[in-house]
Amino acid sequence: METSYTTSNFEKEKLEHKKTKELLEQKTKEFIKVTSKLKSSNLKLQELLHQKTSELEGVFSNIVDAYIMMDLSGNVIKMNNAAVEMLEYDINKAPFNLLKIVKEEYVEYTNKAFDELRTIGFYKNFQAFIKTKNNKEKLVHVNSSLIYNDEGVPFAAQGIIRDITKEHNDKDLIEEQKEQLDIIVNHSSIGIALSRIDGKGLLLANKYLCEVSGYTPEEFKNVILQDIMHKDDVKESNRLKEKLYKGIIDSYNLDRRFIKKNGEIVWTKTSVTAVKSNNGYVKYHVTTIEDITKEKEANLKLIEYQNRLKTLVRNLKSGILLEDEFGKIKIVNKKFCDMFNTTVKPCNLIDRDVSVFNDNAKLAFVNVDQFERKNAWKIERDEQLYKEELELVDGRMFERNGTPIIQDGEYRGYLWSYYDTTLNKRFKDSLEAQKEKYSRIIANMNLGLLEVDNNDAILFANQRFSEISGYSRSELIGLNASDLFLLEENKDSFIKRNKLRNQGISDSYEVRVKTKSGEIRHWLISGAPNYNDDNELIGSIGIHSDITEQKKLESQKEQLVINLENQNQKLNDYAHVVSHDLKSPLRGISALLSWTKEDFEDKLGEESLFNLNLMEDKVEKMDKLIGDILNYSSIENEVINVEPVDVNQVIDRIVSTIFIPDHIKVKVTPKLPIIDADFTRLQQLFQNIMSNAINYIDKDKGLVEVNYKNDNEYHVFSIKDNGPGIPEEYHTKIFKMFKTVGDHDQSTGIGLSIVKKIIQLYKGKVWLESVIGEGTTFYFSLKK
Amino acid sequence: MNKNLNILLIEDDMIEVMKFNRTVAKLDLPHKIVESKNGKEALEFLLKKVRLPDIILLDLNMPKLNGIEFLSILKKDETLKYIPTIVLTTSNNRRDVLECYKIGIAGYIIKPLKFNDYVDLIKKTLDYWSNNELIKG
Repeated sequence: METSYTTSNFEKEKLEHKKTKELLEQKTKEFIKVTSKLKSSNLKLQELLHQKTSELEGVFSNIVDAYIMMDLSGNVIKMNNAAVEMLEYDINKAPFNLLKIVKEEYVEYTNKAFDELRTIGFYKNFQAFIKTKNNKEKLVHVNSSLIYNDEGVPFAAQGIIRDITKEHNDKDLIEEQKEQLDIIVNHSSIGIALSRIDGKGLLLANKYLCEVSGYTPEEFKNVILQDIMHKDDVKESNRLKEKLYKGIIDSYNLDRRFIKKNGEIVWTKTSVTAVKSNNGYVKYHVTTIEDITKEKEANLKLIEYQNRLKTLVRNLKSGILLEDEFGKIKIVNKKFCDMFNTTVKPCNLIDRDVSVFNDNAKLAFVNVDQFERKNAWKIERDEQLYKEELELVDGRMFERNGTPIIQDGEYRGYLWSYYDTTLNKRFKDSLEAQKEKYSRIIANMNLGLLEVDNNDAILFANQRFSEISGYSRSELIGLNASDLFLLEENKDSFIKRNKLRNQGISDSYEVRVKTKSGEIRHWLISGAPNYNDDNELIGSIGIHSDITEQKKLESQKEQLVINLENQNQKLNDYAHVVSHDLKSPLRGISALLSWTKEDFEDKLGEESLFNLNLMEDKVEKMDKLIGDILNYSSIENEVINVEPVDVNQVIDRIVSTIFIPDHIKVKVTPKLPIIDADFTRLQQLFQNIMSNAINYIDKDKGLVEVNYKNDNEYHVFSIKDNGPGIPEEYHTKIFKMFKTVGDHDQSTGIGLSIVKKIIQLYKGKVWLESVIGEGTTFYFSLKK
Repeated sequence: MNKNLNILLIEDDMIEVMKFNRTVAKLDLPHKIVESKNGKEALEFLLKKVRLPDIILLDLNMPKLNGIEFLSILKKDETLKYIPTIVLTTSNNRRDVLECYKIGIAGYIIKPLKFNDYVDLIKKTLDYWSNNELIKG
């Protein structure tokens, strides 16, 4: 660039250089002037700094706080008395470095602090533990700054040191205490709440309270306890709170319910205590809350139980009285008052002296002393009284029981119970009487009674059994009944019977037994299973009666019956043989007569013929007589068939068999019954009466009527004729053998005897009504 | 179509036999009659098994072997049991009637008292049997 300068420029440059020179000279002069001024002011300042510094030095050395000056490596240059006192090092005695007395764990922090001090120029709030010369640990607080020389170069640092060990320790303690308190509060098993008197929300709600209520501490900040209180408890709670606020009371306790967040009800025991400020105003209140839901429930149950017990006592069939240890009536029920005929209501007896009541009540008893237990036994307070019987003047019987009430070894009262046993007693007495009566009957009855166990061993025998068996009663006990009495032949069937008995079946049977003397007797035994009170089979009871004599009579009777039957049969056969033997010659005579008449008809005179005819008639009558006797005698001998017989058929048969003259009409009631009888007998019966009626009719127009009437247990038949009638003196006679009233040829006098015999066979009666000249009505009844 | 009957009359009473014979004669009947005085005699005759009768008329009350005893033996015989036997008796003992029918008879006739009634009855009986189909030989 310089090579490009031109001559013209040179001139110009020369000019300008000259001007600059002149300006520079002027400025230099001005500068020197200023500098000299500055010099003098600087001196002044220096003097001032010195002055100030020494002033400061005086201040520092005299300030309460420890003051230290050190070089930038921490070597102490200067320290005041307070610092000496605190650090126990004295720079005037021996040099020391601050960095060296810092506790090991603070060294790094301290180095950093020094670095910052050196860079920025100051360091505030340095805190570290140091060790003093005497090895004491102290927590120190330092505020430090750099010190500069006149050139502004830092050459030292200064600091004010405070010992904050104590301060620090106090703070720790408070924090620790607060922490402990928090732990207590939060782990407490009761709910704790702190609330301001006027403010909404809880200042504090511990963990337990939160758990119990279901609200979080945050939610509690907007909730006061009244908001979650059961509405029934709010009034009382507010009343007490009011008193607390007014300073009338300092605290209150209350059982109240809270509604949990989930709606459940919690019973709590709460205790509220006012926290007052210095001036006596209530500032906060602390509420402690205990969950007593379970206790409340238990309590309710207890009350319920008590009520039930009371109802039970009230309605007991026994009279109950409980007296306490002072002899006062505590419980008494209606039954008790009823039993003692007291008009006082049970509730009015409560808390009265039991002795006053007893003074009246004792008069009802036959033995007053017994009731009061004066002579025999004074109630020892811990003694039980069991089933004591008391007789009353009015005839009733009471049973008395007593139980002492002992609690923790202390006598707390006595429980009396009375039970009216009048009915029981009477029942028992009557039962005893009955038992005695039956025992007497059993002992004296004419039947042998034997009680055996399940193995057939004899447990009891009455007097009669001993008589019929030949063994004494004491001899029998324990012996095996079947071994003792039964014959070998009967044992099997007896064992079968015993099995039936074990199934609870009673029966009666006859058995041949051997008595003590070896005699064989017939016994009738009625056995029945025997049960105990628990309905278990414990054996059997048998009633024995000796029927040997009866047996003998019975077999005799049987033999007699057989004999009789044989006799009857023989008699019957005999009758037939006799009848045949009698009839045979008659037949012969009849035939011979008939042939004689036939063969000699022409030669016989009229008179002879008449005589022969008469002979024929007599033979015929004789034949009929024999037949009738035979009929009569065979009525009860022959076997009777009992079968339904239509009486209409019987009559039809008779009408078609016997000879009925044209002038006689037989009229039969249309409804004859069907009865149980023997056809032949019925025919004999009706035929005999009807034949009689027909034979004896003396009127031009004869009429025989057969009628029937049903009379309860009997069939009553009647046969009416319009014959000559039968005089009354014959009414019974005609039923006797061979008695006839009229003079009819055919009459043998046996017909009505047969009638009567048949009727007797059917347990009926026969009778007649008759009017002479008008007719006769025969009635007869047959038992159904 | 009346047949001639071979009749065995077992009867101990002489007059009864006379009555029967007279009746047969009176009625002029062609039947052949063999008489036996009692059951024993009749049985002896029958057991020969020669000229056996077509029917037997039997009285019950007889000595030696009576009617029912005879009947019992007859009915046990393999040949003789087929011969119809009519009881002709005076006895109407019910026991006899039942017993006879039980053993096996062809009729039970009570002898009437009057001879004319007897003739009448025998006529009817023999007429009846002569009209019956019989086991011959």
